Amino acid sequence: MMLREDRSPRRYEAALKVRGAARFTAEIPVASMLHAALVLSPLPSGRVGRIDAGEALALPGIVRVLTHAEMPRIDRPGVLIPLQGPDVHHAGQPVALVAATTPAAARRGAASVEVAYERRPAILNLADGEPFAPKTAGRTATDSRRGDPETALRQAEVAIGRRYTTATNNHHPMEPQCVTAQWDGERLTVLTTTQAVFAHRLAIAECFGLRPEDVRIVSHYLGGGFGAKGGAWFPHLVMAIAAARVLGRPLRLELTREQMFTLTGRRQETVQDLKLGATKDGRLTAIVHESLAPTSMFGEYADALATVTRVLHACPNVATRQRLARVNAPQPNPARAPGEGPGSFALESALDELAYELDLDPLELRLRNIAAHDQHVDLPWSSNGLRECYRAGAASFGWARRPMRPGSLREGHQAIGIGMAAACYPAYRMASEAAVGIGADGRVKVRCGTQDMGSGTYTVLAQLAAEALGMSYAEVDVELGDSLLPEGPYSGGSMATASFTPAVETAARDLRGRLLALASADAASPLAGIAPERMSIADGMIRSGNRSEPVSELVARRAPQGLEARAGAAPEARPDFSAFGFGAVFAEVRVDSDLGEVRVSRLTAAYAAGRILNPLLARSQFVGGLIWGVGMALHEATVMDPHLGRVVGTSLADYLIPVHADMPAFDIHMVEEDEPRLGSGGVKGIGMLGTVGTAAAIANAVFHATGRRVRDLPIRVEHLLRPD
Amino acid sequence: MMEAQYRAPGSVDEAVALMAGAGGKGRVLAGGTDLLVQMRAGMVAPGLIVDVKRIAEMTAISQIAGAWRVGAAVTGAEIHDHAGLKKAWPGVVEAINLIGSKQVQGRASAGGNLCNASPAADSVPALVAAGAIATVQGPNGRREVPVEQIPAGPGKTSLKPGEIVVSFTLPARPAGSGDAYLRLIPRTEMDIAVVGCGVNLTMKDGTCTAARVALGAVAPTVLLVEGAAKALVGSKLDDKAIEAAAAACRAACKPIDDKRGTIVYRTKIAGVLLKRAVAIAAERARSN
Ligand SMILES: Cc1cc2nc3c(=O)[nH]c(=O)nc-3n(C[C@H](O)[C@H](O)[C@H](O)COP(=O)(O)OP(=O)(O)OC[C@H]3O[C@@H](n4cnc5c(N)ncnc54)[C@H](O)[C@@H]3O)c2cc1C
Repeated sequence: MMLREDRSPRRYEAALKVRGAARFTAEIPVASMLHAALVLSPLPSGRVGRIDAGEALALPGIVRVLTHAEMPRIDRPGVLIPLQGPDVHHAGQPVALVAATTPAAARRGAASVEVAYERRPAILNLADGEPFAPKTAGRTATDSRRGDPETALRQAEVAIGRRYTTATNNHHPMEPQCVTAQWDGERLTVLTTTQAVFAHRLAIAECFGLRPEDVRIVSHYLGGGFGAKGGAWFPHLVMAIAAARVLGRPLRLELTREQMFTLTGRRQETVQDLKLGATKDGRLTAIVHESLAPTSMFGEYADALATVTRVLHACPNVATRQRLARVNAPQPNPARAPGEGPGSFALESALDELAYELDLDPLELRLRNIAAHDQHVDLPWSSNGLRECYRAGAASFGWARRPMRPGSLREGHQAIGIGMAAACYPAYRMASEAAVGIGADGRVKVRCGTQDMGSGTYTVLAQLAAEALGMSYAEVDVELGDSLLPEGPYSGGSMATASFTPAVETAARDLRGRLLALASADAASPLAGIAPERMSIADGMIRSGNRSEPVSELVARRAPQGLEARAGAAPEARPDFSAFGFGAVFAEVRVDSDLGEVRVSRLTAAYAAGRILNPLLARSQFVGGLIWGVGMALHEATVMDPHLGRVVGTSLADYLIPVHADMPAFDIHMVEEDEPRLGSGGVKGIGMLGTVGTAAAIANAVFHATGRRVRDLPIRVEHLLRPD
Repeated sequence: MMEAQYRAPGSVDEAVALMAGAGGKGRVLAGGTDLLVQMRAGMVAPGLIVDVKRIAEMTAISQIAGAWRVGAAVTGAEIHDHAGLKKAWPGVVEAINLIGSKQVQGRASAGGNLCNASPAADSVPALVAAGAIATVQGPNGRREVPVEQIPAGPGKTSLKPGEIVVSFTLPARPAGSGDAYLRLIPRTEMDIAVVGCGVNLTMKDGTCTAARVALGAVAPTVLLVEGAAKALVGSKLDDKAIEAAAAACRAACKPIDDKRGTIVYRTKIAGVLLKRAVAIAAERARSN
């Protein structure tokens, strides 16, 4: 796809960020604020006894040491707000908060607090927990069933059953979580790194018994989030706000990188059993996908591991089942492509294994199983571009030249392998409002209380308004990241853009209509008396035939205070179709046969994900998603000490993510889709899709290179050593 | 945690005096890419930081009678840009340049890499293979120490209290010499070696006349593997000799299991890297 300049303008906030003028949360000072540091439990299970803060309080700069004894009670079931009681449920749980005049003093104070613990038995490994059925899996039902998969498996001409595992991952956005809480009587201002200004406003108001309108949440710029700045951050946000109230002064809490391993959620590890049945000519007859994952002692969260299994491939008999077991570890929560990422690793690896059982090209196997409709909910697709993704991706990648036999391609020390996988992700949406206005200076303003994770929300909001109004992108200002604005969507589930797009477009069209009506009715306008339908706006000019007037002059004359239109949009309650984005990922890997070293050399991916608002930003989202897939496949693992229950190695020197030198050549294709039935203005959401299927494509390529089927992520060098 | 004093003396004598005055609480600061990270993590809390980057002798590269003298605080970036050193000791230069990233290279020194005493320090096997001699100065004056005698275990050196590594001397090279360093890390850059291997060879008429082999990350300290050198010297670097050298490397390994690599893996890879490093060093020796 061509990256046309007009559809991919320069990022709205690029210059601000390059100059350092975009102020991130931790860079915004608040008068007379204190700094917090946390005292953390080294034990995974126990009860806090005596806390001796004497030495800490004697240090310079220390204002107060808060423990559960001093903190107000907050009633919020299902989440562990720290400092609410003496019980310790995981290593790294905060047990005291030190408030000081500088961050360094606070840290020093925290290191001097002595805490006595009563140790309690802990469950540290998933295998030791008691499996139970969670109420939901992500936004989906825990279990599902269609047809009779057990019988179909027994009767299948070909059947396989395999176990796959994936590791615990942490999100690790570049910017650590931070909050500065400021109370003014019963009013509260919270500057924080949040993916959800409105959801957090409501939840915080509930925690403190405030009216939502008395709580203001501000989050102007985010250095990533990936799920770690939503519900996972909330308990610590609330803790800091409560502490600020006790202290009677503004308080800032900024997490350290180390704390981001334990206090801001994690992608749960998984053990997944996949059984496939098929006919000899490669039609799926049965899928059974059963999985087990850990949750914390206090909360319940299950990634939607089976979403992809339920819908991606046509199959009459499908059963999926998810179980959780409680362990003394931090609370898991959604991380980019939650469930769909690890779940698709199991499904798409198993498909590859089946292809080899059948001696059938893995792409051909998938082509034979394209689902004509969504069999899970028994509804037609809004659209399904999977076949076109397969075609476009395979053609660009050169899939047709791939020999079937593993270990056929070599270059020096390196075995070369190529593999592929399919992907899908649901097109979610939520209610959103937005306002589009124009001032007497002719500048357009879009206001929407959503937030920009760094993915380009500012830019897209400006583009949408400019396009719908007929003004130029450079004339649009954007306000977001503030709960004083019209209520916008949260950034999660790849749904922010799909949610605000129809609201912004409706508001902009409404504003356009009002401007044209104004011109028509204004005797002083050159356009007076012309029917609005016969006028157009382009480049800031209203035109009809050879008559025209700049929009700014009309506004200055007729609405010197400016004009604003507000609109809301909400998803259909019961749509009569099923909407997903689809994709196909093709990977080439090089495996050093003597060292076991794996490098991904090429990734080609084709996506059909509805209307693409900005091809350049979309490409960045897909590349980002793919990099997460590379990380999941080859590097990322939060290692827990099986005896102590602590994270082993709490820095980015220990938690490996792909670095620049690990980046393959990316070849991204976007299949244009017309989606008139989607109320989102055709937008489907793209943030997660790149992470779905990618780990499987890489593992399948590793199999093709080496003949070794690695079913446990991340793939380690030891997995691939050639036997002597 | 305590407040640290900072001094940046202009001579080794002054630095040594400051260290002596600090009574064991002094810490040398070169690039700080280990020290500052460890201070932030609360692993060390020096009372006095002695910055050695203003000391000319410690930040210069010079050649004396064919030998190269490299100040212990010279940065990786400066070494990278030094054509003469690179030509004479490409393996040593490569090893130092593998440390970290571009940003880290702008700060990190070989002296810091050695004195931090990580078993996985990348420049150390290359320096040991090169037969580098460290010039050390302390309260009792100067002494010369082979590099392999400085590491004493993870995070420990044989330096006496208050001693500073001033420079490294890389000996003059006979014709037909070449060196190489290879390491294995799970990702492409910015990681700690799972195994590192330095090889230094001199070839005459197709026969190996001198060899030194060192391994990193397979034991508590970098190992000088004399058995591997013996297997190579006198041979034409034929498969049998190289396989014997690889076997000696595997036998010398006393690694640990950790999340970066298992004992079995590290041991096996030591032999593979040896073979590849010998091939590169031999190629360089032929063209020198
Ligand atoms: C992001 C990152 C990546 C890294 N990657 C690698 C890597 O790939 N390979 C690798 O080996 N290391 C790596 N390191 C570790 C570190 O960069 C190296 O060990 C580096 O060589 C240290 O040099 P320095 O000058 O910064 O040492 P400093 O931090 O200044 O000093 C290190 C230690 O040595 C002592 N010291 C320093 N100079 C002297 C001296 N002249 N005499 C006596 N004592 C002295 C100091 O007191 C301190 O204890 C990495 C570090 C970071 C932060």
